[in-house]
Order: sequence, then structure tokens, then C-alpha cells
Amino acid sequence: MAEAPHATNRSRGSLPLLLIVALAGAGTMVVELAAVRVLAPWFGTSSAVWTNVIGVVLGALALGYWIGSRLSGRAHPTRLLGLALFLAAFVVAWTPALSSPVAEWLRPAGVTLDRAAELLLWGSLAASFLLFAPAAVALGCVGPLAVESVQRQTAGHAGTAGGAVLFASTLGSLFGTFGTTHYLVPALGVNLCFYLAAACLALGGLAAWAVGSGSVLQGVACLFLVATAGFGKGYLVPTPNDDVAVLAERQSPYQFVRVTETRAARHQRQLQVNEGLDSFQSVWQPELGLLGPGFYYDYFAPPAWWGRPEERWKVMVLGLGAGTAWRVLEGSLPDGVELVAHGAEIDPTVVELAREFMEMAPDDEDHQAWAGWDGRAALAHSDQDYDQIILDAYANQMEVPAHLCSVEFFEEVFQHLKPGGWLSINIGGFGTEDPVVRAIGGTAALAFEQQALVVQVPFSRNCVLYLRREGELPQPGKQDWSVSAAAIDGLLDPVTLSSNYAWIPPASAPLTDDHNPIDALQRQSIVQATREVQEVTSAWRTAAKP
Amino acid sequence: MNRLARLLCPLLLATLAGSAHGQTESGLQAAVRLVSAGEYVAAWESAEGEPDPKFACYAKLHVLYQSGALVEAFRVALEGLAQWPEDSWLLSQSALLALTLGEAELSDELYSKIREMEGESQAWKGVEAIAEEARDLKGQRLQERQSLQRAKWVVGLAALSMGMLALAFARTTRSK
Repeated sequence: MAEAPHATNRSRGSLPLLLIVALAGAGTMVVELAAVRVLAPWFGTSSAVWTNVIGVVLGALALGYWIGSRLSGRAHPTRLLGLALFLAAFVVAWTPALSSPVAEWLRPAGVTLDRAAELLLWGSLAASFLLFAPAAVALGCVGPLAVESVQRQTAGHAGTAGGAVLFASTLGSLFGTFGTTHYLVPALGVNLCFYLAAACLALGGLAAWAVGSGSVLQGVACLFLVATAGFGKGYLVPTPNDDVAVLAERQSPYQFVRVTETRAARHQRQLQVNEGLDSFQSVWQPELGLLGPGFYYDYFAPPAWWGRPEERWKVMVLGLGAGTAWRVLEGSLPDGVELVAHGAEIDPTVVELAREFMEMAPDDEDHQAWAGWDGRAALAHSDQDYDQIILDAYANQMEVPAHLCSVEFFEEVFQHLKPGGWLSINIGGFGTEDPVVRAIGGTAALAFEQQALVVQVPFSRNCVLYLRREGELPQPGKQDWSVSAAAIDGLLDPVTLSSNYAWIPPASAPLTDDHNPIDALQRQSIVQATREVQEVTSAWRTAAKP
Repeated sequence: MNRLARLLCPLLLATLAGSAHGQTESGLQAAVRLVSAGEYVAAWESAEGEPDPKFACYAKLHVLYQSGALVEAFRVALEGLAQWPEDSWLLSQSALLALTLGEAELSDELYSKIREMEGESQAWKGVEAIAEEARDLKGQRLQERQSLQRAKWVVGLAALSMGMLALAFARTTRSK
């Protein structure tokens, strides 16, 4: 009992060290989460990119723990802790400036999605090693050095010191995790986020240096080195072509969002998210109605003509984006039919930009944009039935979220359709035999207990699937296919060729909430598409040989 | 894509078809007419019914391209080109489709062949800008391959460096 006051004093003595460790924990998470933002404009934020970043950071941290453990036996572990933090701060501070050149070196401009799969995988892995591993190694050293310092200072048990350090570090990481996603990146942007993390780490380094009784001059010199990062240009997202103007750029809690406008004769605006490749999430042009060849949105229009509504056509768009589907339907419904448009968009920033730049109607009785809602959650929350549900919920250019393509989800969709109501799904797929198209089509067909009709959108890499609740689908080329409206028939006519449509039967092994290998199917899709074209070329080369 | 659609000129096809068959409407002419009318299935049937194999190939290519079935159109174009390697229309369509589908080397190769055949004629001047695009795309593909190699080297070297660093510190003795 007599030792208690001394123990308490010693514990209090370790408080500065624990605060330093908490700062390092926060810094680690800021770097890890902001790292994906840095890579996003070049490599996207697919699960493969996340896996690469997390994997590299974990590997580097492990190495740091090992190095820290070997260094912890040295004479001045607290000073070494300070040095590790200075080193981490220096690297983190330079990360924004280095990220653009490194990413451009690993992923040249102008790569198209179908060619980029392997490059995205290896490029993001290599970029993670170059940009984030050094800082993570340095930050990994912090733990063991801090444990040693605390133990020496408190003269307590190794477990006590280790537990206290883990507690402080994890608490710091927690702040770093929530703070980065919900506050730092949206409020400050990626550059300031890294600079702030570097400043915290440098401050921690200085404190550790002081606690370890290091020379003031050396500490100031280290701070100066960290500050040199201020001379760097910072993180720059890829700029679009000269014929495209950027109207707005934002960092949302979910992604980097940009609105661009073409300077060409055909006035058009596009909303891009994390997009350094060749695609966009939403498109706007001044006129309502069909967008023209190559735009899959136009293929959301036929169900309203096949369904022949009398007064109103009530639609829910899951993955509303900037409301392109609404605008297409608004301008292409049969005469006298009024659109009642609901839509769920997970990223409120997208809806804000849509209202500002893409004429998205403000919410009223007939237009309701559920900003901040996930598509499935919105549907579960809604007590309404629809004439048409449109699923257009792509993430990161090509990823279908797994929970939006399971049989359980499609059963919920079925329940929210009026009898005779239509489901239309946009799928990025290279033809009607694409593995992703077949898997999603078969899964939806199982939930709807009918064959799904898939059409290849001409001049695009998209397919649109149609299903119907308790009603027959029209047959391409048959009498019920044509709707006697020139613009809509212009869309439907090319699809009547047998190479441009297919019927997909209910899947025997559907995608489910429990087992959903959609990521693997997406990779397979890109590989298969590239191989198909290459096989045609190879066949010609063989045939053309003299 | 729209620009490319305009370049695949149906009028040229109609002219070719007319000169091939005189007064009676050929399968090719019918295919061109039916595509314009939006009757793709009938157009395809007409293309299949065209007795001249080269014009049947033209017609099928036209129907498939206009319907947006680019890979199928590419297949038909190259099958035709394998049979009639000097046919300038098939050459230009194959080159264009190869470019559209990202087959840069083939596209560049075919445009070079067109250049050889046409010299500095008007026909060549009409496609010169697209041939330039094919060359650019070829350069792009080379850059992509180099980037991929670079990325693999970086990953390998980084993993090796980290392993060596771990080994180096394993030899460091813990001494106070």
C-alpha cells in the first residue's frame, strides 16, 4: 500500500508519452484513410485498392514494430521515439506533393477501364508501397519504443506499460478514423489533412524529443525538415482534357466529386466521382429527354411506353446520382403522363452539386431525392409501391455493391413494385454473355420468378436488364416490342438483332447476402471482354497468314 | 462513338451495292434500306440472302455496326478482310473498328496498309486524322505495358527491401 503514491506519480509521469502515442495512432489512421483518397483519382477506390493500401500499411507497420523492438533496447528509446515521429511527419508531409507524380508514373493518362484492370491492381499496390510504406514503418516503431519508454519511466510491469500504450494508441486511432472520414477530408481536403497529420506527428516528435532530453537545436532542425514539405505543390487530381471545363470539385465523406462541362458544340455536363478513367456517374444536357446513342440512361424509358400508364408514372431510382434518369424520363414519357420521381443517393454532396449545376428539381410532392440514403436502406424504409424501379447504383465506375445485387435485395424490390411494375437495372458489362450480367440477371430472375431480358446498349459497355412483377416482358422484334413512338422505337429497333439481347433464366446458384462473389465476377468480366476482342484479332492474323 | 458512326457511311454501301447488281435490289441494298427503316432483323436476313459473298460481308458488317454490336461487326470485318485483303472498304472499316475496340496495333497496321494502297489520295486524306489516333493509341498501349512492368518491379523491390530491412535489424543486438 505504501508504494501506491509513487506508482501513481510514475503513472502521471508517463502521461505525456501516452499522449504522444495517441497522436501517432491518430496520424496512422489519417494516413491510411486519406491514402485511399489520394489514390482514388488514378486507381479508384475498389475493394482491390483498399486491400492494397491496408495490406501495405499493415506490412509496413509490422516491419516498424520489429525495428522498434530491436531499437528499444538502446540507451535513449524516448529520443528514438521522437526521431521515428519526425521521420513519419517528414514523409507524411511530402506525401501530397509526391502522390501525383508517383501515380502518373504508374498509371499513364488516357487508360480506358477495360484495359486498366491489371494496371489498377499493380499500380495501386506499387503506389501504396512508395507513398505510404515509409511513414507506416516509422509509425510502427512508435509502439515498442513507447512501451520501453513508459516501462523505464514507471519501472512497472511490461504488461502494464504495453496495455497503457495500446490503450492510448487505439484511442488515437479511433479519433483518426472518425475524424478523417467525417470531418477532416470533407472540411479541409486531402492536402490539409496530410499536413495536419504531419504537424501532429511532428509535435509528438518534438515532445518525445524533449521528454527524452534531446538537444533543442536538433529538435528544431527536425521540425524545419518537416516544414520543407510546404514547398511542395501538394496533391493534384488529374485534370480533364483541354476541351472540358471544371465547374466544381468537392471532397465528400464518400468520394472526390467533380462537375465538368464540355466546351464542344453539344453543351453537356458530367458528374464524375473518383474518376481518372474514361467514365462518369451522371450526365446533363439542357434538353429533357433521351440523351442519344451510347447513353444507357435512354433504356430506362421504354417501360413507361410498354406499361401504357394513363396519368402518372411513379419511379424510384436507386443510385440517383445527379438525376440523369429523372431527366431522361421527364422528357420521354408518353403524352399526358406525369412523372412522380423518387430517388436515393448515398452521397449528399452529389445531390447538392446536382441542384447547383444539373437542374435537379428541389424536393416537392412529385420529386423526392433522398440524399444520404443507401439504395437498399431507402427501399426498406419506403412504404410506397412504384411503377418502375431503376437500379443504377454503381460505385467506382464498375463495382456493383454486393448488397444491391443479392436475391434478398431483389425480393425487396419485387415487393415495392406495383403488380405489372418494372425493374430496370444498368450493369456495366461487355455483352449479354458477360459474367456479371449473367449473375445479376439470373439472381434477379430468381426473385421475380421469370426470365430476365438483357439488352446490350448499342455503342456502350453497358447492358440494361428488364424484369416485371406479375407481368410478361415484351419480346424483342415481336408486336409488343414496338411502341409506335419514333424516338423510343429508334432505341428498341437495333436491339432486336439476336446478338444484342438475351433471356437469362433464374440462377441455380444466385448471388445472396451470405455468398456474393461479385468482385471476382467483375474482374472476370474485364478479362473476358479484353480476351474476346484479342481472340478476334488473333483469328484474323492466323487466317491472313500466307 | 457518334463520330465513328458517321464515318461508316451507308451511302457508300448503297452505291457499291447499286453498282454491283444493276436494277434489281440486291441483298446489300435491301440491308442498307432496312437498317435505315429500323428493321434490323429483316436487314440481317437480307444480308444473309445476298448471293455475292463479298457484298454479303459488307451487308452484315453494316447491319451489325449500325445496331451497335461492335465486337460482332469487328469479327465479320476481319473475316471478310482475311478473304479479300486488298478491299479498301473492308480495310478502312476494320481499322476503324479495331481503333474503337482498342486494338491499337492492328488498327495502326491496317491504316499503314491503306496508306500504302492509297498514297496521298483524297481517300487517304479522309482517314488521315483517324490513322493518327490509331498511332497515338498504339503509343498509349506501349506506355500502359511499361507502366505495368514498372509497377511490378516497384512491388518486387519494395517487398525485397522490407524483407532485407527486417533481416538487418534481426542482427542488431538489444543492448542497453
